[in-house]
Amino acid sequence: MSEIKLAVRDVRAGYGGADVLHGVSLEVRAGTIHTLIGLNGAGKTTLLRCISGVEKLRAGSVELDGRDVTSASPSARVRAGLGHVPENRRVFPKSTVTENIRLGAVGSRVDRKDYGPRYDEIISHFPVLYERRNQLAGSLSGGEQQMLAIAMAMITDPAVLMLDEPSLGLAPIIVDRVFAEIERLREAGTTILLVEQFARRALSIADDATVLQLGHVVASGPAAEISSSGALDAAYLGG
Amino acid sequence: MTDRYSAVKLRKGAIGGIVVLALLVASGPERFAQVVGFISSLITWPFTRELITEANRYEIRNAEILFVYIVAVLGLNLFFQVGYKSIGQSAPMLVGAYTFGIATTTHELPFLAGLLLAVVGAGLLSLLLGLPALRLGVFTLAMVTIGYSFVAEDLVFEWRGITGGGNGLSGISRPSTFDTVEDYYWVLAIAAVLALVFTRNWLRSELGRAGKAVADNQVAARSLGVNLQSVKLRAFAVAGAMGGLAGALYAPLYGFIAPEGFTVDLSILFVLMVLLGGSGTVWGPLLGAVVLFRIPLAVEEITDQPGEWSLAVYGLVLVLSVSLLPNGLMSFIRGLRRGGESQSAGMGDASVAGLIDGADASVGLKVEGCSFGIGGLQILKGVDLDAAPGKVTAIIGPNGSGKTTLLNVSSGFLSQDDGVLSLGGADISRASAEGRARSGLARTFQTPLLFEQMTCLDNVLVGLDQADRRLPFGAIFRTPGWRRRERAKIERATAILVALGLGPRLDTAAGSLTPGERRLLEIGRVVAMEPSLILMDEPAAGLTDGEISVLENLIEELRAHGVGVILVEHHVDMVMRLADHVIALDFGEVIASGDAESVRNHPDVVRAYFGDDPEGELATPVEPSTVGGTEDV
Amino acid sequence: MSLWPAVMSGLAVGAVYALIALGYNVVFSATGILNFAHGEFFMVGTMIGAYLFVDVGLNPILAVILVALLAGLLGVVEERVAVRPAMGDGRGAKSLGWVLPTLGASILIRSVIALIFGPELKRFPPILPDKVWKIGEAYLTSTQLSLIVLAVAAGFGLHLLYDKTDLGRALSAVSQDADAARLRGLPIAALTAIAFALGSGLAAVAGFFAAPFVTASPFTGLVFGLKGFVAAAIGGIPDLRGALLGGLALGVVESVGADIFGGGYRDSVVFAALIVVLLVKPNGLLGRGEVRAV
Repeated sequence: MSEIKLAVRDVRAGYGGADVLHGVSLEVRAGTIHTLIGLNGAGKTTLLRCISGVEKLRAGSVELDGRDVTSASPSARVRAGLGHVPENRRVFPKSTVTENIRLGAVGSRVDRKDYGPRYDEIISHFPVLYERRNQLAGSLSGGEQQMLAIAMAMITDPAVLMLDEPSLGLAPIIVDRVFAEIERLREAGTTILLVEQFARRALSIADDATVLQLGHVVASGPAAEISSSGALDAAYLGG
Repeated sequence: MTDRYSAVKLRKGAIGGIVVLALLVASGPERFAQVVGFISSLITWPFTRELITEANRYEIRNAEILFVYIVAVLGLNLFFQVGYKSIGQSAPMLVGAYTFGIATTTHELPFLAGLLLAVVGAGLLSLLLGLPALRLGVFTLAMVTIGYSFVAEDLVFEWRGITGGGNGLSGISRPSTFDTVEDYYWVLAIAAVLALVFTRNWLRSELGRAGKAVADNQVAARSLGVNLQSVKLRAFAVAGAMGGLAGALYAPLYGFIAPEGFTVDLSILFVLMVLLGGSGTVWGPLLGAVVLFRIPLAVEEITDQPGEWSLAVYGLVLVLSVSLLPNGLMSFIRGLRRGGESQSAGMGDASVAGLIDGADASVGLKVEGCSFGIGGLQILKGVDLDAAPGKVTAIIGPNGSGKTTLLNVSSGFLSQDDGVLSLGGADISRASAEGRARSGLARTFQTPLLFEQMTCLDNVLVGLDQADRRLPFGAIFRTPGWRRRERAKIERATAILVALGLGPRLDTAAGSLTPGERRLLEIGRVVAMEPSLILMDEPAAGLTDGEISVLENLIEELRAHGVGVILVEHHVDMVMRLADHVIALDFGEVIASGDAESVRNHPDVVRAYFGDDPEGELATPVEPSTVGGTEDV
Repeated sequence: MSLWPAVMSGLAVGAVYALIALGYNVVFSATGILNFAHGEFFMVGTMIGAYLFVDVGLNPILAVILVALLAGLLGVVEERVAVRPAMGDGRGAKSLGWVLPTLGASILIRSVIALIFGPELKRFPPILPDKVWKIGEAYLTSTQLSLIVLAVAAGFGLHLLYDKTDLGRALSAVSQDADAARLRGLPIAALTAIAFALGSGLAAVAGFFAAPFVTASPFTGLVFGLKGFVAAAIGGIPDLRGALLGGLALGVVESVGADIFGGGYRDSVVFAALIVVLLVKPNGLLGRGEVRAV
């Protein structure tokens, strides 16, 4: 039984009167890809935001590397090794590609003096970004922005990387490239929590999976089992 | 329907409140001054250790000042309701006071004529000043209104010939029939009551709904045909007119006015009264006025630097207002009454049959040679689209192909660089978004844009209000015709919501709905507008199976009644089932056009979507990247 | 009648407006907020600067540093107490919940200063030696010249900050997408506090140097705060060059306008200028972008 890098226990969260997450639990094993799938409104993004600490929990806890981080600030969690690639990329459009990647390092556990070397290392994995390094991030295409967002998370040397619907808005060919990058990260030892609506694709590269529907976990286990079970069809997942 | 029931209770409570208030006012100056003095001195009792229980002439004058403040504050509230903040209500008050003063002393005009001149003068001035100023953002406008306060004072000094400058204007007399301080009370009381009735009628009508809509979501309001500038301007002008009235009523109180009586600090006090009571509510400003009224007077009694201490208190109240009472006293009070939110009750008896009345004439949308680029990126390159009247036209294409941008340009939220757009033969290439909406072109957005703070019913009512636009006299005077129309609107709105399965959510705030319900509400609101053509941007995104079938039935009903639909969609099966005509976009160009079957199988389309994998699926519902998406709007 | 004297004194006053405008821009850049209390920090600079320099007899350099630090601290406190609660729950700057609390803070600061120091302003002798410079047909005192130099230096310094330092880039990121910045671990709380401290410190320094020719009235802070804002808006918020250009231009326009139309129309000229510029260029003279900043 490999080590649990990220754990979420009985999390309740919501906006205003209603709860969006009703007691969600999830465990991500070290060095694996765990995919969280479900329709719009299932609460996937809310869960990631709770894990990152930008959304308040109404109940439950979050553990990173066995340590309880429930009351830690988002900054502290990033310093503890949590990386988050947000839904819709959310790069800083008026800053250049280089500035964006450097900004990813600010506030993380990377030392000031290592910003330069880390940047060089990261950008070597993304030749397209290197070509556009002085361009404003807002002028990049969707796929390039997705790569940039991943690079921004990678520069912090995360132990756990969370990606929120990286395939959103991208043509299938680009999605292939993004997913190949995600698999490469797993090979390099990063633990990955991959949120997707695009279930079939996600399940094809994942080790474990959790299915979320309207804020409840309806199925959880090895990806192969989830793929073949009825849980997917029960909730219209498309993809 | 628990919310409905408690609304009835609230109405009964409000009527009770009005009766009590009316009795209190009618009881005369001494009694009124006593009661108000007592209530408001309760607030400051910890500091003054004094409860006002007597009604001497000083207290009566204070009560009369309260009435004046109430008129000014009720007017200011109408402007706050639109979402803007004016910190300059003392300016129209100054204008009104001096206009009245000069008219009745130098020109010896009678009381009513002076009042009328003051009201009209202040109102017109606000209208003129608002014309340029209301095009600015909220904060800038707030700063400009402070500027008006200063400039008004400056000009009083500058034109000292007619205003008396720093020495002020004296000898202003009360109307002959209400000559004493006690008798003048009745004039002020009547004015305050009329002001209350006026603002209540305003807020609880299509005027109030339009204001709330503009405050809540300007883009959504425009898409329904609401003219933002008109709504803001009329609120500002009326607020100014009421400020002028307050000033004119104030002038004869002491018979003397001077610039010091109308400083920025008075404006700030008014803002506080509106805010504390609850901006946009009917009773809130009244409550705020009574509560805050006594503070300056109490502070005067206990300190030697009353001005600064009062100010410090105001400052503290404002600073803490956000944490303590973010929405004012009224919503705090209402919050105490409210029960829990009702849970979603499922689709219920959703049936759209017979919902659509039918367009007067079917119109088509024609786009010719449309091009649009931004930041060096060319998003649309010479796109042609011919949506036949009363038919369902679908636009498909991979992301980044420009579908949403095409809709934004067609609906007027983005201006094309090149190309001609016509609706039913009429050229709309340069028309504003709200203008196109009024010509019958409606739209929904990729992420439903709702009026989050308004109930589902109110959301749809805003749509209905736009279908039947007329002068506001009916609303203000509550004519029988207006009442009939209002009832009919509520019935129709209810029917629309029930047909879409939102019956149980009538009185729920739009902000609390599920994603699918939000989409249906947005569509219901658009249907209420009685458009000739609807642009729908990925309407099926995030909908459950049941909701999608309601949507499809609705689109078919619309088509059956001659209302055209232009649909941007990813759900291929939906497009195949519904579309009469399909165009496919890729990188801003039309790559295929024709009936659903042939476009779907067109080799260029297959290639654009699936790349090298013919077995691959289309990507599921998507958001656009920052360029070309609704964020640009 | 020559307009030169008006232009020169207009430039000096304009430099003060420019400094205030720069402060608005710094805070807005980082937080999306315009601080109503900003003008009161200018007032703090004048009042406390006068107290330290005149009453206590402190060395002017020490005095200005102390004043800047105090104002910076006050700015941080204001952010914590008045602004942050209004921004909570992810509502952010767009919800405009901060307008009234910052107004409250401005009033509070104004009243506290008045209570401590009373309404009269101390006589503030010039800090610099009494030299006069001749420029063309006009004369500039050393105080006036120093203000202009200060404004330009401040503008340049801020430019370096934003362009070349990680701190500046982080501040810019927060202004572009505060939520995404938080998510990625940027220390938002610290950055916001720094922005407020920087902005209010700048205003206070402007107040200190402007003290010799500022007339005292309870509304001085409000008036300068207003005009500084007008300068920033005319130049284009949050553009730094815009603040400089807007400030200097506004000072000259106000001064010349007062000369031509009469002193009582001074404020009218200022607001007329604002309205005219924003109607023609809604994002200010140097502003960019589709959506208006404020």
